[in-house]
Amino acid sequence: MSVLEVRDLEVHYETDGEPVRAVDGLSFTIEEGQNLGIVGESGCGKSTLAKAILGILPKNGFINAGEIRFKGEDLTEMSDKKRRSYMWDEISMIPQSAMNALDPVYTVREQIVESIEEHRRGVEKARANETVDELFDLVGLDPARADDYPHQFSGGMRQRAMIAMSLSLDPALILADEPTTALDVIMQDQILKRIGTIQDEINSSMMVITHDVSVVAETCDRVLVMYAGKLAEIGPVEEIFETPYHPYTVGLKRAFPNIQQPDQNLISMPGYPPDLAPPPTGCRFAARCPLATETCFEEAPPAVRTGNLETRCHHTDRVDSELRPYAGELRVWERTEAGREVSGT
Amino acid sequence: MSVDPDPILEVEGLNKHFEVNSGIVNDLRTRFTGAEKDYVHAVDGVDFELYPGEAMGIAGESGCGKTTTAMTLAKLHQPTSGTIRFRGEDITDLEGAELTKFRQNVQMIFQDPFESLNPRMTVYDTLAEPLQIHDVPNKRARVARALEFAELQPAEQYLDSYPNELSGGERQRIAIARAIVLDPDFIIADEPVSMLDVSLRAGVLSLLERMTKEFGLSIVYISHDLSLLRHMCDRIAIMYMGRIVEIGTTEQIIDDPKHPYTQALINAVPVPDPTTGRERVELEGEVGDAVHVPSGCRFRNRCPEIIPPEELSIDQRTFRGAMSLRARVDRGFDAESYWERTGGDGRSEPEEFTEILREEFVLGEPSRENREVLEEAIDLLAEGQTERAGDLLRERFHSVCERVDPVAEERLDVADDRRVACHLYEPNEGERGVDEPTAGESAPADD
Repeated sequence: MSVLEVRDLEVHYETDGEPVRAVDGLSFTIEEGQNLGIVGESGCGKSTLAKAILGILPKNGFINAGEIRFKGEDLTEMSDKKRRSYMWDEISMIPQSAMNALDPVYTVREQIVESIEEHRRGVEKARANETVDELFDLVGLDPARADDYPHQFSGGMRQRAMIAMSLSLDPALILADEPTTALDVIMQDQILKRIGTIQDEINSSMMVITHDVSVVAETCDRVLVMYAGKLAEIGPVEEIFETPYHPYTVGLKRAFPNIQQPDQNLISMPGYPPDLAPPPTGCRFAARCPLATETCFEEAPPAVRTGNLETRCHHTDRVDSELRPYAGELRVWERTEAGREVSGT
Repeated sequence: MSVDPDPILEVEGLNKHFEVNSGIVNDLRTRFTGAEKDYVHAVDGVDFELYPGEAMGIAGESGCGKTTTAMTLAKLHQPTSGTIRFRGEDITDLEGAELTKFRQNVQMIFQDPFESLNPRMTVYDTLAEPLQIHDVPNKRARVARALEFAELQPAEQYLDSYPNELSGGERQRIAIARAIVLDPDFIIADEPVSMLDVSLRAGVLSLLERMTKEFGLSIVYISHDLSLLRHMCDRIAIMYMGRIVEIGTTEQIIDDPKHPYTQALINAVPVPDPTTGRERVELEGEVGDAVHVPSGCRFRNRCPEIIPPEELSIDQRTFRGAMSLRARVDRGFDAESYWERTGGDGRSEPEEFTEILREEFVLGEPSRENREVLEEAIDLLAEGQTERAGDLLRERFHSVCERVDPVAEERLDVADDRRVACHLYEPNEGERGVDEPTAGESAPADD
């Protein structure tokens, strides 16, 4: 059975006008022990997705339709009380900013012990303390430091303490929202390494939300690329990076400098994601897509399988010959509708 | 690259120290007790030069002093000591009208375009302000040209906008337009794209590239993102605890790093390609205390290649274990915390005590002699004879890296024109000794 199964999920935000359809008909699964990366630019709906799974949508946000099944049970149908008991216990999270996630007036040990005691009534204090020591070892912190307050930790240490905390109840699923974005390169490397060790030692599944494709490349088995609230492409990490078939993924890959490929041209796809209140008809990427035809602006793209990839695009058959070889040239991306608008022609 | 042999900027022995606890209470305390004031050595002896048209990167971890260096170059901080020469002229102590004149030549682009633009000023006012200060004519035309260069077209459409009406990418382009509107000679860009969304970064980066090429500008990029620096820079300087530890061309630094810290830093960069693995250098711990800077090489406490004494035959892991035990003892050994960990009542479990210490500090494959010295020191610690344990350890385990401050200079066995501050390579001339003012003022400290 899948740990997480999301089916036709729609998350909307109330506004003064039309509701914003932040997540619009998203389906995917995470199997046991698997790490799924969710990639996309700001506003693509990746954080909304995480909030919907954790049940922490803001007041004006609601699940309009669809299911979020955790080990077969639909979280959206569950009572608040039951759902709360699942949080941390079965589904935990590593937030982006550990600075604000730890309480400054308690020691790190007290905070972790508290969360263990809250969910495991009757657990002995000594046992809970032992767990803290083990977890600190696992994330590469000196157990003696657990009795320190968060301000005595550096940014990287706090983030590792948060990882320890997220593992404290042996959850089946961990949601990591930009786990290394606030850290510098040495700290980032240490955290990525820890995430790798944890995968080897504990059979938790993980959902890593990030805009940084290199973080996904290093920590995930599968990748889901989101664009404007919809799934653009999903598949094994190697195939997504080697031979993506969605034009958006092809372009996104070109937006990052790679230290091992100094001569690669950096490409910024002209234009912005569309307004989602309401979204345009047809393919949402059409205005920025070099392969777009009239059909793309009118009809929603079908799901096409190539190898182990699932791609939502009308023109996957043209990617190999018409886009991939020229993806490093900016003029290719300027020939799109959005590109013509920017250059004013 | 360096077409013109005369550097536009020469920095020599640059220091910027900040006083710690400079409040009135502390001030009175130090005045009456005569205690020495503490300083954060944010920038501590930085030398480099920047050539016309060159793009130079400064990289390092958070807190290494790269941003302070940048701010000092733009004279936003007054250096504590050292000299900065601009086109051969000493600008270190410029003030008043002369400083204003110098500022016309240097502009900064900051990390966060949401904070660096005044929310109450329109785009036109933001760009026209520097022109006004420096009394430059044709404001409107110059502003329009700068905006058009920054790909904000048509310029008229942006002139009356306020920053809150613009996206992050547009704001950073405004910041770039503001930087070039005075036609400066060099620009300092501090993490220019780290706050921007992925899809916008590439565009802003290519704008910056175009800017330096078209105007023949020199630019200093401050970033911890080495992939970005590799893409943008001709030369890269790596900083650690206020010092430049290695400086050379981008190819030299990225493809063939010499300093162990540079090697660790480059190996830590994640690669957006799941099929190419990378070699990871184990680098534990954090940047040390910039107030009580360690003697000798500042990287030695984390260095995977700390140099043992010549007469000692020892593997690197054992040596590092021994050195960190020594550091622990020198700093004031906290025996209580180890006794607590034995789980016994007070000092009832001496065997457990020595076992814990052995596990933590006797590492690698020590020779019989080395093991004996380490175990004897641990036994002395169990008996509470901390001082004798320290003497014993100091006598056998010591390193040139803690005694002598390595100078960033060209090394005889590094066959190119880069400068490396590391004892692993043959020095050209004499090294700085322990008597150097910033070193040796505190006991050697461990992470």
